[in-house]
Amino acid sequence: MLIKNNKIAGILVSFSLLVAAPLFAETPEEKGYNIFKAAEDRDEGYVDNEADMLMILMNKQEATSEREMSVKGLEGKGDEGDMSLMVFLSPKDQKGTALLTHQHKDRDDDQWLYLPALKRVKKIASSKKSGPFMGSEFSFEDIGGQSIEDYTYKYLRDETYEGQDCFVVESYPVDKNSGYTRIVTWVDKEHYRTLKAEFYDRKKSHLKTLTASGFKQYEGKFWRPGEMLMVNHQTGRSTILKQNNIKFKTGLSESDFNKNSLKRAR
Amino acid sequence: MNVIRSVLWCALVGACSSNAHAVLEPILEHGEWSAETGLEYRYFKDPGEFGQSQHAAAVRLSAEYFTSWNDDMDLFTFRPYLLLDFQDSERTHFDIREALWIHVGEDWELRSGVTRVFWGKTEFINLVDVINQQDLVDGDDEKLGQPMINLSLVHDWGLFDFYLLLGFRERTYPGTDGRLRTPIPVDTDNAQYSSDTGPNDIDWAARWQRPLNDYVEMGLSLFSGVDREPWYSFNFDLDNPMLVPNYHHKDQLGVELEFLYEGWAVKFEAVGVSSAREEYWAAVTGIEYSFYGLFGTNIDMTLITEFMHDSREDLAPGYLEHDIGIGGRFSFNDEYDTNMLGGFLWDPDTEEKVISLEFERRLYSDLKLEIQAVSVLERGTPEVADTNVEAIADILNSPLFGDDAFSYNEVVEFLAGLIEDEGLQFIFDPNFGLDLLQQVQRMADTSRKISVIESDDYIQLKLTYYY
Repeated sequence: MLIKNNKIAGILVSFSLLVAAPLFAETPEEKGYNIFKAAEDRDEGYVDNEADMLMILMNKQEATSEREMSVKGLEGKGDEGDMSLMVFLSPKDQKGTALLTHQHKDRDDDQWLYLPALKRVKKIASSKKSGPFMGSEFSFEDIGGQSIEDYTYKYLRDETYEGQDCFVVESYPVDKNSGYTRIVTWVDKEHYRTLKAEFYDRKKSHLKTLTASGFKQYEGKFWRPGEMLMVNHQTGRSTILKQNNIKFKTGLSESDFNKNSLKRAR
Repeated sequence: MNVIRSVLWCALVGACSSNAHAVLEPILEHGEWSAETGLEYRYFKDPGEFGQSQHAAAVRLSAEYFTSWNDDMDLFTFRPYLLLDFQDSERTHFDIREALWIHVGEDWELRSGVTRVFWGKTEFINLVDVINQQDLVDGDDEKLGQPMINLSLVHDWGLFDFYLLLGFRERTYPGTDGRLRTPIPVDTDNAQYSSDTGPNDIDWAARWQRPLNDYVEMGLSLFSGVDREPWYSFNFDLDNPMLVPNYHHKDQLGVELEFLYEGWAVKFEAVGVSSAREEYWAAVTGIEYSFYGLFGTNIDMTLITEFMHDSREDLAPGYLEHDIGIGGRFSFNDEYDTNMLGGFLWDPDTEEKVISLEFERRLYSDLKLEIQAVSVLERGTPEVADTNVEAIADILNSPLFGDDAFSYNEVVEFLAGLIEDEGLQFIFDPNFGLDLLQQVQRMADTSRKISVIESDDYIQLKLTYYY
C-alpha cells in the first residue's frame, strides 16, 4: 500500500506536471472530483513498491511506544484494485502478524489478518474500518488504500499552506461504515500532493488533523512523504508514521499477495 | 521421535539429493535468532484429589532461527521449544515446533519439514483441524510439530494443499503429580495401535479453500491417517493402574463455511468420519456479532454463540458432544494490545457448566502478561458404587467397557483371573480395590466427561519476555 489513498494516501501519492486539462464551467463538485482524479492519475504506473515504516504512538507529552512494519504494494491492472501486504516486525509479541488487503473499486475491500501464534488466517469484516489501527490514531480506513469512488467531492477555495498554493477540497465518504462525515484536504497545485487533511467525526466535530512532510520524488514521478503526523484533538494523543527505504518496481507480482505469502511474510 | 527425526532428515535431504550441501549451506548463513521466555504460575482453588500441590509453576523457553536465500524464494525456520514444569515431570518436555524449509514457486510452494498447521473457522472447537497432535499437557491450544511435505497450489479455483504426513506423534498427558489429570494416569510409554496403523505411518491429507462470493468462504478437506484422538483401555493392573491410549486409523471429510456481512459472522464446521471402529459425524455452527467502537470508545466487542453436536452423543471422547458455547471478546485497540475473552460452555443434557476468562496486555515493549481463570461451575459428579459388586456391574453395563465394547473380553478375562486368584469373595470385600473400581466406573460413565478429567478451578498467570 505504501499508504496511498487520496487522503492520507494522497499524501504519499504525487504527480507529474502533466496536468489534467482544465474544464470549463466546472461546478464545485466537479472541480473537487477533478482535483482528486488528477492526483490519482499522477500516481498511475507505479507498478509496485516496498517500504519500511515506523509508527510512534504519543500521548500529550511523550512517545509511549513504537511499532515497526514492512509494507509491499502492487498496482491493480485495469479495473482491478491495488493489493497490499503489511507485516509487523515489532512489538516483538506481534512479530509476524500480517495484514493482506485486496482493494476493489466496485465493492468492499477484502482484508485478511494472519496470527502467527495460532497459524490462523482470519478474514476481517469491512465494518471494522473506522476502528483504530494497532492502537494508533490512524484508523483502518486511513491506512488501507482507497479509491476515488469511495468519496464524493466539493472544491471549497484556494489557499496557501506553508508557502505552497493549494486547492482546499472537501470530501464525503460514500460508505456508511466510515468513521467520518467529511474530510477537508489541502492539495498542492504544483504536484497534487495531500499536505494536510482535517477529519470530522460522525458527530461532525473536528476529530483529527493529518500533516505530511519530508516529500521526496521517486522514479522521477511519484512523490511520497517521509513523515506523517496524525493528531487527535479530542484525546490529545498523536501518532507519527515514518517511511523509509521506499523502493519502486521491485518486481512484485500477484503471487506475493495471496494467503500463502501472508503466512510467510517477514 | 528418533524415527520421525530421521524421516524428516531424509525428506529434507532427499528432496534435493543431487547436492545436499547446496541446501544446507544457505540454511546456516545470514540467519537471525529470536527467543522468548515465559514464566507460568497456576493457583488451584483446592488441593489435588490425589495429593497434588495447589501451586504449579513452569518455565517456557522458545527460540526461533530464520533465514532466507535465493531472493526470498527459499525460507528456513527452526523453532525448538522447551517446557519445564516444577511439579509434573511428564509436563516437562522438549519439542521441535518448527523445522521447515519453504520453497516458493510462481503459483505454488513446497513446505518440507516439521511444522504446525491450522484448519478451521469456528471458535470453541475446530473439528476439521486434524493435521497436528494436541500438546495436551502444555495447554488446550498447543500443538506438537508434525513432520510433513506440503505442496500448496494457488489456482483460479482457490487454494489447494496436499500433505504427506511423515510419522505420527502421540498425545501428551499430565503425569501423576500434575493437575487436570485423569483419575487413573495415562500410560504414554505403551500406547497401542490398531492393526491398520502405527507410529511410523505415512498419512495424507488435502484441503481446498475458496471464496464462493463476496461474503462466503468455504473449505473442503480430506484426511486419511492416524486419529489424533485416542481411545483408552484399562491395563487391569490393580497395583499399577493405568489407562492405555489406543490409536486407530480414520478417514475424515471436513467442511468449513464462513459468511461475513457487516458486523455479522456465521461459521460452520462439520466432519464425517469413518474408521474400523465407528462411523459418525460432528458439527459446530456459530453466529457472531461485532460492535465496533463500543459506546464511542475504541473498544470492539464480539458476541459469539456456538452449538456443537456429535452423532455419537455420550460416546464421543471429548466433552463438547452436545454443548452450547457463549463467548464475548473485547479488543481494546490500545497501544498495549489489551484483549479480554470470556467463554461459557453449557451442556443442557448433563448440566456441565464451565466458565473461562482470559486477559492479555503488553506491559512494556518486550513483556507481555496473560491471565486465565477457569471455573467448573457444575461438573455433574457421577454416583459411584459403594460395593465392588455394584461397581463391577456398572462397568460391565457401560458402553465403553461392557458388552460389544472394544475391551469387553479383557474385562471378562481380568475378572475371571481375579476370581481364580482371590476367590469369589473379593467382590464383597470393600477393602479390596473399591477405590480403583470406582475410578474405572467414573470413566465408564460416558455422559460425564468433565468429571473424568480432574476439573479444578484455577487461575493462571503468564509473563512472557521477548528477545
